[in-house]
Amino acid sequence: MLKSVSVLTSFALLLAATATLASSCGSGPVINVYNWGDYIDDSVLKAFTEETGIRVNYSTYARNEEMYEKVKRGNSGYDIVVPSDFMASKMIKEGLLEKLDFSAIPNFSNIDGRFTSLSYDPSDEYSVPYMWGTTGILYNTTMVDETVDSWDILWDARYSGQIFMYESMRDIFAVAQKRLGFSINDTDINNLNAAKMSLSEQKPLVQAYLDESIKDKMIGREGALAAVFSGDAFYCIEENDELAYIVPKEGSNVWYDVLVIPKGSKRKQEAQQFIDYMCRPDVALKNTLYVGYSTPNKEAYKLLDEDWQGSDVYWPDDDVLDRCEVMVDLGAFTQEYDRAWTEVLASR
Amino acid sequence: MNKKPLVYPYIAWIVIFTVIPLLLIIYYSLHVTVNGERVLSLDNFARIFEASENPRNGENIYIYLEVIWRSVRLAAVCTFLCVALGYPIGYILAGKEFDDSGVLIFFFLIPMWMNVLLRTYAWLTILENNGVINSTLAFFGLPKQTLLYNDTAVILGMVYNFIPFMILPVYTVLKKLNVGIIEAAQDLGASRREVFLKVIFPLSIPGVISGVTMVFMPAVTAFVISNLLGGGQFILIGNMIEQQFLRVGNWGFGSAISVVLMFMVLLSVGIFSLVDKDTGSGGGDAVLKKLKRLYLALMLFFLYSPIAVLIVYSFNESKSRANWSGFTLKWYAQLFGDPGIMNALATTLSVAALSSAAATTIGTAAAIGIDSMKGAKKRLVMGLTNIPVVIPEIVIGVSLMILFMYVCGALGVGMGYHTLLLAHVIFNVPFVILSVLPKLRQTDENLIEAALDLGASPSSAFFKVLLPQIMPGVITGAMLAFTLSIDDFIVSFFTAGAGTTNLSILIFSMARLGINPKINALSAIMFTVVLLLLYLINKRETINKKRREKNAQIR
Repeated sequence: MLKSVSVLTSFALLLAATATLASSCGSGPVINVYNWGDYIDDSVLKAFTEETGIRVNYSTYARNEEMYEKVKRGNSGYDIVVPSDFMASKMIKEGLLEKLDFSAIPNFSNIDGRFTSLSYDPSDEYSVPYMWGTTGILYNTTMVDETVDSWDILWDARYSGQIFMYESMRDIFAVAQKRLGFSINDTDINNLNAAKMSLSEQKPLVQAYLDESIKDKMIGREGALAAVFSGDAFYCIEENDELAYIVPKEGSNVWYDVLVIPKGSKRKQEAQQFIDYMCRPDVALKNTLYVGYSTPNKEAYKLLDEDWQGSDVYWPDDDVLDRCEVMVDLGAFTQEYDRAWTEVLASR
Repeated sequence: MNKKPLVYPYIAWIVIFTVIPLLLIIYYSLHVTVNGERVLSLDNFARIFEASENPRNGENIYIYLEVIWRSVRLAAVCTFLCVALGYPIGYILAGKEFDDSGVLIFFFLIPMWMNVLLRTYAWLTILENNGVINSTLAFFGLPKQTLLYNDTAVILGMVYNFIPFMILPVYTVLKKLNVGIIEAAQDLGASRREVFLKVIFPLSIPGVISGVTMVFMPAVTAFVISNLLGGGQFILIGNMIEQQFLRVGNWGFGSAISVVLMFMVLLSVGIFSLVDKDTGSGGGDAVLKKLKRLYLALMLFFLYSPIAVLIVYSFNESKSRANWSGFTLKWYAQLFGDPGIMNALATTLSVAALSSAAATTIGTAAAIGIDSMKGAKKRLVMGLTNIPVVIPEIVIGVSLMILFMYVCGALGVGMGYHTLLLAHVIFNVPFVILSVLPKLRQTDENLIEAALDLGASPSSAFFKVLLPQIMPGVITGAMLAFTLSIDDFIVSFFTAGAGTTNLSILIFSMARLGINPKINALSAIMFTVVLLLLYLINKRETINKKRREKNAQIR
């Protein structure tokens, strides 16, 4: 019996050793990259290691808040994280990010001027844009037999059990706020309560609050309507042509996800090399093609097919963007959002 | 042999890794942050009792109390179903007609060795609108049913995951039942019904009670099952705690809910240990042999069909699960080509091996020390030892996370593989102690004295006399620790640092992305390996047993 245990243990260790070997041939510096789930072309990571000798330890999250909580605790060990605009400005304000040395990131010049010096990092000190897009409604045209142009349809009882929403606080509030005619950065407690009520009211109609798995659900015809990011919508439409995407007339959110280095990174040099690599036109192209999110890289954009460049999902017109707001950090008022969101989740 | 010194390091161990983390939770629950300063307050607890307006009818609802009530109600329903479905299995298996029940009970326990996330994930594929069940219904022209993202789905997931915890104790108790008592009752004219209701069932109550405890506790604290099968529509206490700690960052409120949860669980454990009569359930009349077999077959079907579905779809060409588009091995190729998965596998296996080895050493030493203690002191140490076994896993997870954060912050190191490993050692130690102690009680103290008198050094007395006697307990403990470590998700989720991902954490993040055939391929492999290992261990044991019997005959 003792033998079988030691056999079992050594078997496990042997397997572990083989798996480690299989996963990490060679040595060299390692950077810890913490990104959104399904938000990169995996082959890019391999190519980066081959070219630079820097290995990438890659893990994923599903919400800005989840990443923020880990970084805020300190000594998170991450060398690269990818917050959205409002979260990036919050992290900058709280001193959680390293200033970048842009001389080490020459490919930054490939970024379209439209996407630099934005309000969350006005003088381009901390962040490099990675992807951008809008939030809107993805719907299945075989199940929704009417014009979709308003957020109201996500509150329509006829689609009860056919609606998916993101399980992400600011994004879900943005939908309710726009529907009610508020700003997505509203800090009036009464308006916030109204949005909260509106979301609780919607809850019985929602099939589920999910993360990236909404894509899989919509492609698999598991639901009729979903509030999603344009990049996810674009990916879904490529996979299933019954689907369509619009940005509602009440307006919406235009957002930017950015590459940053958390304070205390022990591999800042290598992390900057990684950011620079992500800005190379061929690499940015690979990522945008795989993920389906819009690239802020003008050189990569030029390399895209015409049907991508011309798609109003992938590359929305100015009149769409005109009715979209950028999310900003709300400082201490975020607590009220936290509370309201917890109440929405807990309610039945 | 003086064994006392073995106790003190262990007491220090408990204080650091059990008592302090729990005190930290209590500390946080009693403080709120006002203008950046932490002040003593009961607000976190008061918030649990807050009411807010229901937008649908304007009535006041106590949302947090409702979450707690919902968790308790679901756990109760799940426990009831586990008794109702699991007791008959234990009863039938322990019966006379299944001489091979040792093998059969094995089949009921094998799914337990599969990762809890994989077992839960399997149901996603089955319950979806276009999943296996609905596709079958549609094939026969029947209307589709909404099966996923509601309480039924969550209860189903719980029963599926926890029913082995009910079968095993019931089976164990009934197997040990003295046949003489039953025969005596029959000889005295009791009907089969009376024998069951008046003799067998009352005697099996201890098994039912430990089964109820073992099912109710994980059910009331569940967070993975409700997360994956509830789709955010179905928030339980566990989800609230996770949300407050990992997303909202309100540790005070999160801690307050944890304290309430801990209190509830301790209370229910207390009640269960007091109760000596439980409400009856299970078929009264002795069932026909065929019916028994049918029932076992049905339950095995229930336990294995999700695993079978997972495996079948791992060979499906299409990523979508609604249709079968051809046989492929590409998901397996992708699986082995995925450095992330291979890395996670390495982490899981090395943590399991190292943490079970460390926990076995620490636990055995501590058990020897505890065994030599007496009276109130011993009861106190035992009580502290039991804490990690009894309190909810999620509370262990968050409390260790807070502790590690402080310690790592002070030392200027990050959380990572080391914290994950340490956390696994911590929750494994008590299980080793609890496995070794009974064996120690059976050992004859005089043997060691004799060895020492005959000139053995204390260390050779330990290795040559004491250790061989308690070896079965040590091995059970080591195996238990190994299994628990492989299966653990919750504690790992809270204590692993940057870039440290084990299989459970990886599967959780992959499952959130949607159905991925690579996970199916992984489950198929893990299932096969588990099956193979269990078969080998079982075979060895049977061979050893036969050898022993043979030797006995020769003598």
